[in-house]
Amino acid sequence: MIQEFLIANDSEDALKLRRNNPKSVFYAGGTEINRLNSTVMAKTAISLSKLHLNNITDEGNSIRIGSMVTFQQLVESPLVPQYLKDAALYCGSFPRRNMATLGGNLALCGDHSYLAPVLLASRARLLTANLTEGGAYSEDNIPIREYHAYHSQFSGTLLLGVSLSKDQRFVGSSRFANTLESQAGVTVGFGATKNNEGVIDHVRVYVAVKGSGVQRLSDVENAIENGELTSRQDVQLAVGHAIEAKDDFTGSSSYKRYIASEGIAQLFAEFVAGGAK
Amino acid sequence: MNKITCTVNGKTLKATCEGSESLRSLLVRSGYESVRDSDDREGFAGSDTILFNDMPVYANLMLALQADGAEIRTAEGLGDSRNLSIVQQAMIDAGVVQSAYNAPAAALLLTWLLEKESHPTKEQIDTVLSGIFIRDTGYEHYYLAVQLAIEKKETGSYKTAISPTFRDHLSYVGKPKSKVDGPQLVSGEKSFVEDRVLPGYYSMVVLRSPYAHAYIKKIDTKAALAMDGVISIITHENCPDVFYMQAGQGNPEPSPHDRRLLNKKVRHVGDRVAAIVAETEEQAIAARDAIKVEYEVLKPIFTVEEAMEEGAPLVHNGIVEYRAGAPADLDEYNKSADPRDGKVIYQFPLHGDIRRNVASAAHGQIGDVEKGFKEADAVVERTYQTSQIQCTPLEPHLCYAKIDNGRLVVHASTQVPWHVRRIVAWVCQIPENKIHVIKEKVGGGYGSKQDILVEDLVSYATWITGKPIYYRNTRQEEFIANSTRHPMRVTVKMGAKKDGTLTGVYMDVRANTGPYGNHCLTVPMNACSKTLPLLKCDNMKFDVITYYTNILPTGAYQGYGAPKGTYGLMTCMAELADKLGIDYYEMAMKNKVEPGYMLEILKGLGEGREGTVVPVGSCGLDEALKQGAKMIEWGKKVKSSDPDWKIGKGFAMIQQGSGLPGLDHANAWAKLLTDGTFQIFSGGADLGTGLDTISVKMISEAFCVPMDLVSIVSGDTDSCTFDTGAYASSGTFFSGNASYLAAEDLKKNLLTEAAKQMDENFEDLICRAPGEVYSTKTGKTLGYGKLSHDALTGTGSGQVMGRASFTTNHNSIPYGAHFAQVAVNVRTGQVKVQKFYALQDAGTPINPELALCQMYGAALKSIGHTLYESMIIDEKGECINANLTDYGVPMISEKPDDFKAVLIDIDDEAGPYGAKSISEIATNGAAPAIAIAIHDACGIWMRSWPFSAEKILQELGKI
Repeated sequence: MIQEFLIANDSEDALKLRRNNPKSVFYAGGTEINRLNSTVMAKTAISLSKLHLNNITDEGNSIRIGSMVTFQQLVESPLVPQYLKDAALYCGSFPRRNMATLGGNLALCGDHSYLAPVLLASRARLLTANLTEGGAYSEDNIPIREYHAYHSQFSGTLLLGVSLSKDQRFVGSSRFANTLESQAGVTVGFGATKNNEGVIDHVRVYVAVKGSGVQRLSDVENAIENGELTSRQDVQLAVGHAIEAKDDFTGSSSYKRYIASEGIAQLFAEFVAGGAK
Repeated sequence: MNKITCTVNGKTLKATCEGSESLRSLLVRSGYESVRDSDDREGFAGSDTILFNDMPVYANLMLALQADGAEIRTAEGLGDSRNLSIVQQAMIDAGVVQSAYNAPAAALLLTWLLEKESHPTKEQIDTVLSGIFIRDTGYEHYYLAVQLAIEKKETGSYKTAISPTFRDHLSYVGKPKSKVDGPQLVSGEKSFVEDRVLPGYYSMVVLRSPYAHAYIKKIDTKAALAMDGVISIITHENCPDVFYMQAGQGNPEPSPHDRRLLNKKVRHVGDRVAAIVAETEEQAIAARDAIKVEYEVLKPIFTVEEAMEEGAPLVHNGIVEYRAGAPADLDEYNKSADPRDGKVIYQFPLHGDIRRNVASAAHGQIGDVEKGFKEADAVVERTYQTSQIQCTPLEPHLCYAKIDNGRLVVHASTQVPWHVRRIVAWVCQIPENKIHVIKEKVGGGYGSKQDILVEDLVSYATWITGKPIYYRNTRQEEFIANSTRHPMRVTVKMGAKKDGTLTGVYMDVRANTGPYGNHCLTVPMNACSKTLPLLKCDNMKFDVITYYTNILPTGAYQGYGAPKGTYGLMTCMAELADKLGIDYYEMAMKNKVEPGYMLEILKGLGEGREGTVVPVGSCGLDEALKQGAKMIEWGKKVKSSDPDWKIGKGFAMIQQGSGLPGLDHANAWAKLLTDGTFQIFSGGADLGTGLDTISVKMISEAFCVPMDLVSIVSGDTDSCTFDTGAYASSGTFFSGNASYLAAEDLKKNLLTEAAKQMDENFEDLICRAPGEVYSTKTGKTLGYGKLSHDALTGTGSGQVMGRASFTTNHNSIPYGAHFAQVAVNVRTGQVKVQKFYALQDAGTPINPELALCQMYGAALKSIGHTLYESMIIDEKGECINANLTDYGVPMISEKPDDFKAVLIDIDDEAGPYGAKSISEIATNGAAPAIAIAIHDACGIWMRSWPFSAEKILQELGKI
C-alpha cells in the first residue's frame, strides 16, 4: 500500500526519485495501484502528473501518444487508430477510463491487459527514459516486443509514450470476458502487413491469457509469414496448440485455448479478406 | 502528514492527510458523506464517483494528495432534500431512487452529462452510467429521468408520461407520485446505518475459518486480549449456549436451529471463529491476527451428490431435538451424535435426517402421476442445475448497536426488524422490551437482509460490553459469510398428449443449503409451490429434499426457489413441445390456469403445514402471454446478416405470491395530529421499494389530503406495531393492507368524532379535499385541524387514532410472462439478449413508476443469474471470485437492447385498492425464456446456470 506520495517535476526527477526510493513505483492513473488486491507492492508513489505526458500528437509518419494519456482520451482523439480505441473501450467503466492510462496499463502488462495485445500486434515503438548507472539521463526508442520480452528488466524505466506508425497495417484485437467489466479470460491481438504481391509480412500474434500472461506466438507468426498457415482453420489449429492456459474462474484451459484460437483465426480471416487497414 | 488545498463544491478545503489516505476517505471525513463505498476500492460499483477537475472518477482509486489544487464536485453540491436540482427530482419522479445507495453518484453523473450535452443520446447516457452498478431498478428508467430533466429545464414541466396510470377514480393510488423518501436518498443525506454511527464507537471484526469443515481443537485469545484497545473477544467457548438460526422467518420457523453465535465446528470457509471488539478497527484487526487456532480438519462435501453418498461426511452430527412432534426413536437416533457438533433443534418436523445430511424434505401430489405418464403420447425427463448466486446489495451487511437508558438499541439495515428483535433477544437472553430495533434505510436487500447475519453478533457484543459497536462486512465477507441463492438440481418429468395437453408433471428438487439450514424448507418448496400452480394438470407430484454441505452459506434471495423451479418446469415444457413437434406457445396457452380453476396442488405446498386449496383469483396470465407474443412476434423467425450469429425467441409463464397467507401478519396505526395533518406508523420494513409511499398514499387517499401532509414512521420496533417483515412479496399486500385498514379505521373514528362535534349523522359525513369533513345532508364542513384541536381540548374525546391488523388466507397471486430474443454466436458462444419483455399483472400498481423499475431491476438481475453470475469455489471450498468484478454482475452494458416492462391491468379482490406484489416474480422468467430462445437460435438446450460462453461451446460440440 502506498504510504508516500511524491510528485516528480520532470522525467529526470522522476527517474531519480525512483532510484532513490527502492520500494517506489511510477504513479500514472493509480487505478491498478490503489485498487483492492492490487499486485503492486510499492510504498512510495512517484506522480508523473507534471511531466506533460498526457498529449496525443501527429508526428507526420507516426502518432505519438504520451504515457499519461487516459483510455478516454484514446477513445475521443481523432488521431488514434480505431484498433486502439476499440481496445481502450474494453475497459467498460467510463470513470475508470478517465483515470486509467496507456502507460500504466502497458507497464503492468498484466494477463488481462486491455491494451498490451493490440499494441504488441501493432508493432508500436516505445519512447522510454532511463538513468545510466552513473546517473546520466537518456531517452530511447525501442520496439514494444523488446519491452514485452524483457519486461522485468524495464522495471526502472520510465515510459514516456508510444509511437504508432501510420504505415498500412492490419491490426485488430478481441477480448473474451464474462461481462464487459469482468477480467478477460483471453484477449488477443493480431497484426500483419500484405504488400501488392500479396506477400504477408511482419505478422504479430499476441495473446493475453488470464493466469498465464501475455504470450507471443512466434511459431504461428513465422508459419503465417512462410505460407504454412493459409486458412482460418490452419491458424486456429496452430494457435490452439501454441497457447499456454490454466483453469481458473474465467474458464477452463480448453476453453481459453479454443477461444484464443477462434479470436486469432477470426482476425486472420478479416486480414486475408481485407488486407491492411 | 501532508497539507493540501482543494475546492469541493465551490468551497475551499484545506486538509492534512497521510500519504496512504484515499481521496474518498478525505472527502467523507470532511463531511461529504454521499461519496460512499460499496466495493472496498475495487473500482467497480461507482458509489465513490466524484467529479475531479470536471471528469467523473472513482475517489477510492485516488490518493487524497492527488487532490491538491483540484476542483472536486460531489452529490452534496447538487441540491439538498429541501431544494432538489432538476436532475435529482427527475430521478425520483422516474422511479429510479429506490434502495438508492448509488443514487447520489448517479445524479452527479447525469448532471455532468447534461452540462456537457443538452440532449444526450442513449449511447451517451450508457457511457456515463457504464461505471455505476445499479441492482435494484435496472437502468431503463434512467433514460426517462434524463428526458424528464430536459423537459423540465426547457419548458418548466414534464411532457413525457412517467408511467401508465390506473384507477381513474383514485387520486394517489395507481399514479406516479414522488417517493416520500426520495429527496433524502437522492441528495445523499444521512439515511443508512453507517450515517448513524456516532464518534466514540468501537469496532468489531471477525476471525473466519480457512477450512470448509473442521473442529476447533484449541483457540488461544490471551495475547490478543492483552493488546492495546481490545475490549472483548467472543469465541465458541464464551458465547451463549443458545441454538438458533439466522433466517428471518415467522416463529416457529420452518428452518432448524442449527447454530450458535460461534460454534466449535466450522462448516464453511469464512465461518465465524471469533469476534473481536476494540477501540479502533486497526486494533481489532491486529488482535485478530494474534489469535491462535488449532483445527482438526475434516473432509468437506460440496454437492448434493456428495451429500447423498452412503458414508458421506456429516455436516451436522449433533444432538437432534424437536420443540414439537419429536419421533419416538429420537433417543436411539441421538446415540451416534458427536457433542462437538452442537445441536439441531427442529421447531416442528421438517422430515430432516442429519445423519444423511438431509436438512429438510417435503413431498406431495394430486392425482396419479404414473397413470398420467402412461396416458401421455410423449414423456421427457430432464435435469436442470442452478448455481450459487450472491445478492450483491450495494450497501453490505452492517450493524451499529449501543446501550441507551439500559436498553439495547440496534440500528439495522434489515427487511425484518421484528425478527431481528426476537432473535437478538434469544441470543442475548434478554426480554424484548429491553431491545429497540431501528430499521434504517436499506441500501439493497434482495432477500439477504431478511436474514439476521450480523445483528446477532453485534448486539450480543454490545450487550455484554456496554459499548457502542459498529460492524460492516467487507465485500469479500459479503460473498463468503452471507445469504446466497441455494444451488439446486431440479429434475422435471412431464408427459403430454399429441395435442399438448399435459397428463402428468413430476418435480424432483434437490437443494443444497450449505452449512446451515436457513430457509432450507421454504426456498426449495417455492421451486414447486410457485410453479406447479401455473399448470392445469390433474396429475402432479413433487419431492423436495434439501442437503447440508460445506459450500458458502445460503438463504433468502428474491424469488426464493421460484426462479429455479420456473427454469426447470418451463424449459422442460418447451423440450416436451419440441419432442411432440408442436408450438410451445400453443402448449402453454392450452395448459395455463385460468380464473376459477381450483388449485388442488396447493394442499401439499404449505410451508411446513397443509396448504389451503383456493381457486385462481385475479389473473393476468392470458393477457400477458397474448400481448408478449404479439410484441416479440412469436413464430416469426429472425435471421442475422452475420452467419455466426443465430437468433431465437423464448418465453416463460411466471407467478409468485403476495406474502404467505395464514402465516404473515401486518399491523399499522395512524393518528390525526393537532393541526389536522396525519402520521402513520407501519410495521412494514420499506427496503427502498416504496412501501412507505404506499402507506402514505393510503392516508392521502382516505382523507383526500396531499401526501406531504402525511408522515410515516416504519420498521421501528418501539413506535410501530408488529409486522412479519418485507419478504415473500408481502410488503404491498400485507403491510399495505394493514396501512389501508388503519387509514379506514382512522377515518371511521374521525367521522365519529366529526359527527359528535358537528351534530350530524355519521352516515351523512364524508372526507373531502382539501382536508375537511363534509355533510352531504346539511352542507356543513369541519376542517381536520379544528376537529383535532377540539378533540384535544379539556372537553374533547381525545386523540383520533386508527389501528389495524391484517391477516388473510387469500392467495393474491401475481402472474406474468417474460419474453426474450437472443443472438448466439456459434463460434464464440457469446449470447446477447436483444429483446426482453416483462409483462406482469400486479393487480393495481399503487406506485406504477416504482413497480416498472423493480421489474427492470429484477429482470436484469435474473438475466445476470442466467448468463453470468456464479460463485465459484475451489476444491477446498474457498470462493475464488469473491468480488464484484470476478463474480460478474450485469451492468448497463449487459442490458437488453430492447427492454420493456408492461403492467397488465387486473384488479385484485383482496389487495389494498386491488394491489398484488410486483418485484419477486420478475426474477423468475429470464432463465427459461433465454434457455428456450437459445434452443430456438441454435438447437441446444442449456440445462445449467449460468449459460456461459464456455458451456454454450460445449453444447455446440466446439470444445
